[in-house]
Amino acid sequence: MRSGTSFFNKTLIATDFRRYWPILFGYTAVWMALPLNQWTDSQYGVEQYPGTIIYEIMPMALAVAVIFGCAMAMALFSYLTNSRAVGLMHSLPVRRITHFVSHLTAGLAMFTAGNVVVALLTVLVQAATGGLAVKDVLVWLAVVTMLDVIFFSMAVLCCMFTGWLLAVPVLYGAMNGIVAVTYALLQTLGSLFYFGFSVMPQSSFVQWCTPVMNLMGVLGQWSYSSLDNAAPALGERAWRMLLIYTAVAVVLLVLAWILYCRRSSETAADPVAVRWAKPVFRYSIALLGGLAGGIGLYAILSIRRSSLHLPLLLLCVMGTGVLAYFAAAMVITKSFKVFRDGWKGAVAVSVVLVAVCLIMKMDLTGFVHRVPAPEEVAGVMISDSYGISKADVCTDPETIADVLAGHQAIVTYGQPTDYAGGWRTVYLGYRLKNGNTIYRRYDLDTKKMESAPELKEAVEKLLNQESVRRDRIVGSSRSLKEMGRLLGGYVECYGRDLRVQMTEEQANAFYDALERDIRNGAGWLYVDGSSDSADTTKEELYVILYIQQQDIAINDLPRDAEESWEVLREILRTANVTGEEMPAAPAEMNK
Amino acid sequence: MLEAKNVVKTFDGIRALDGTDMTVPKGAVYGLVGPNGAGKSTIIRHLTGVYRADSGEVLLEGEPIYENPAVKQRLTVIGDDWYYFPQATIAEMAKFYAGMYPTFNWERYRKMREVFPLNDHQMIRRMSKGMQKQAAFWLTMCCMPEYLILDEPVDGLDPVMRRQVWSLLLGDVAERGTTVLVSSHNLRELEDVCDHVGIMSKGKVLLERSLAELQDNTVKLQVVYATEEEPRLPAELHVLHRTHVGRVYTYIIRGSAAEIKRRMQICEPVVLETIPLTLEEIFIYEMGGEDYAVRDIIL
Repeated sequence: MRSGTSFFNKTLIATDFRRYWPILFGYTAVWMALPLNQWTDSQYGVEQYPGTIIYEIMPMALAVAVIFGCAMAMALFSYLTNSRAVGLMHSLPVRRITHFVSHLTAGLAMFTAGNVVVALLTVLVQAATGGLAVKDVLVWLAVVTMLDVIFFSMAVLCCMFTGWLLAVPVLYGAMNGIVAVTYALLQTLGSLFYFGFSVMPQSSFVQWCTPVMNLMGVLGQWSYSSLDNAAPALGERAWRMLLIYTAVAVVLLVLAWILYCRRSSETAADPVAVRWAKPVFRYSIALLGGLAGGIGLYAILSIRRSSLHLPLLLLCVMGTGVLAYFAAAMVITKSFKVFRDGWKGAVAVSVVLVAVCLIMKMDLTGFVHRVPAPEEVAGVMISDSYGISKADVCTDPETIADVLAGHQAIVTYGQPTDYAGGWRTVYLGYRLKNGNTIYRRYDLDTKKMESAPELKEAVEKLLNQESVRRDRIVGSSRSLKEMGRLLGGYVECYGRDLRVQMTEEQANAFYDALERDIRNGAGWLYVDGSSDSADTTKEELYVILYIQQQDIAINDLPRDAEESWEVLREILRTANVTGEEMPAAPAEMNK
Repeated sequence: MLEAKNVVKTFDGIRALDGTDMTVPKGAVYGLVGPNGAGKSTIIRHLTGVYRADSGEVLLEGEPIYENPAVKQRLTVIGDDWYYFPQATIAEMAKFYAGMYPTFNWERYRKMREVFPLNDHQMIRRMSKGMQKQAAFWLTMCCMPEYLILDEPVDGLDPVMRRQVWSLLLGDVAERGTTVLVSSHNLRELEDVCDHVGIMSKGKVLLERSLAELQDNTVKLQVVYATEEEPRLPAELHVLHRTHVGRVYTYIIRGSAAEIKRRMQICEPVVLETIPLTLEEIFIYEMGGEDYAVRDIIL
């Protein structure tokens, strides 16, 4: 007759505490930073709401949870990696589920104990220094507890897959990053095959599958509530994200439990402890390694090429794919003798990698030649210096028509043949009426454009759209006044050791003049990189404008922004700058 | 009673247990012997619930052992390489065992301090291998198991401690009816303590019976014939092995001594004596039939 199941074994839990208390100690010691910072802030008279330090220290919670979550799981389940240890543990009169739940409980209890101690100490320090913020301490407690559960659960699942202790952090890292890495590899491959391929912002799926990056993005964002300027708060998005990841962590624990119960004891010391996972690991490593290594090798060997050399790329991915396959096989079988039995798998990997490349080459979706129809387009985005910002959407029909025409010219004439000279980069984006977005990035050979007048004209038109010129001059495609109130600024000229403050009125007068100049075509850039702007950097003159919450620097005021120059010189005259200290008028500046 | 019924276990294509059938009677001291790689440790790990069989059953008094805490509480094991927590002392491991086995006897633990000259507050990892083995016996026997499984148990123990340990074990067998399964290559020692023997080879138990039956069933015969030449032996005799030195012929024959002697009369021997076989000899001659014999090889 089988006994009833108790999920908790007190002896196992107590033994885990006794054996692994140094991890608890280390974890708690690290978090002593919170009450200590609370104390030092009060001692050095830092004037801020006592709970603010909790939010400032919140990003640290992620790093602590990631590191200690893995360390704790490795310690608690280390016996699964030692055949002698697993021989003892699994011969005990304890069911597998009891083992699993007891060790899990010990880990979570240690984290909780550390967190509670730190929370209590923090409240005590707050009480002693005359500024209680118990609510924020509870917020901290909730956040770190959820983070500990999330990353501890991930690490526990990793422990179930391997009988090698040191493979656990490797799997753990892979679990956190494999989707993002795969996405990046496919993007890189896309950029090799497709003229105009632009590295796209990560989709939500990729972001959600990369919990460290996703959580990092929200844990540093906290704000003061509009009603109480002294009390910060973690955003709703952060709480939602934490709750969702915690729910996923519970699912991961259930998966881990299932794996634990099915796992054979004899897999201790095996790199991959779950039989069905062996081919998954082998082929995943082979395919990802083949892609990553192949692309890297190709990049080195084709450094002087701009157009795709398909045979070379195929050779590179095949070669590195085969290497990665045999390396993975050696690790999984713990033997160097894998060639005779593994050649079929290596061939299969090569075939898959070649197939992926050939399918991409065929461009079945018509990516390269796709220019949306005018009736599809709701708005366009253009840039020449950095990636497209989703906020910079222009809906002007004339601009949309110009962009479409330019895009068509690029697609027709602009495909690179080989590296010949300089580059001019154009970023295009379309917001379609069906809600989709198209992004393109074109690196155009300037020498080729000289011999293709239609292309040259189209590209120059794109590069000199008003929003693009504004972006080059002030670093924003939209008017600075849309960001906030222009409060003032200063003019600095290093060469002349000159710095003149501008009043709000003067700053606004200058910027209004600049806007007029931009609308009149100032800042024109030719495809070869030359412009009608003077090399004003010789003047070493910088204009800094204060917008609410940020400063905008204008480092290169174009010579053809004549009105702006005049306003600037007038501002300097008002500040009694004369003679050699006064920057030259645009007409007198050297080109 | 401990049973293994048609147990099959494969590791990476290698069939370690190939339909193993084994029965350890309750209260017996069962010696499991076999060549290296026969599957002894593997079947022991099944009997202790560490391994899960691919097929077949492993039972204790009719109950499956795997994932059965109620059954496993009645059974303890000392493996050939006993595991202890790296920083633990004997006292700490005793607490651990006491927490796991409700039958753990602290009184016995204290009494056994006189048997095992060990400092139970010293870290086990700082002890010699022999001392660690003593610690293993100390702790395991304090669990008061009904079934005790030993894999190469007395390796590393000095002769005095070996006797001491066997004495304790047999004392438990006699007083408490403990069933002991011991796997060892030291057949001479096993012969003194075992009352049942199982011979294992290539994943199967070839032979399994009481020691007395085993010894009765195989006979060593020394014969001197009247003639110079050796006569033809009766065909019905199952001769496992034959040697001679001069006119003295030595046969190992399967069968009862009385029947063999009766049949040998037909050869008119001058001298006909039966000599009891040792367990080692039984093992060697039985394994010879499994193509695992001592070979005369000239290097």
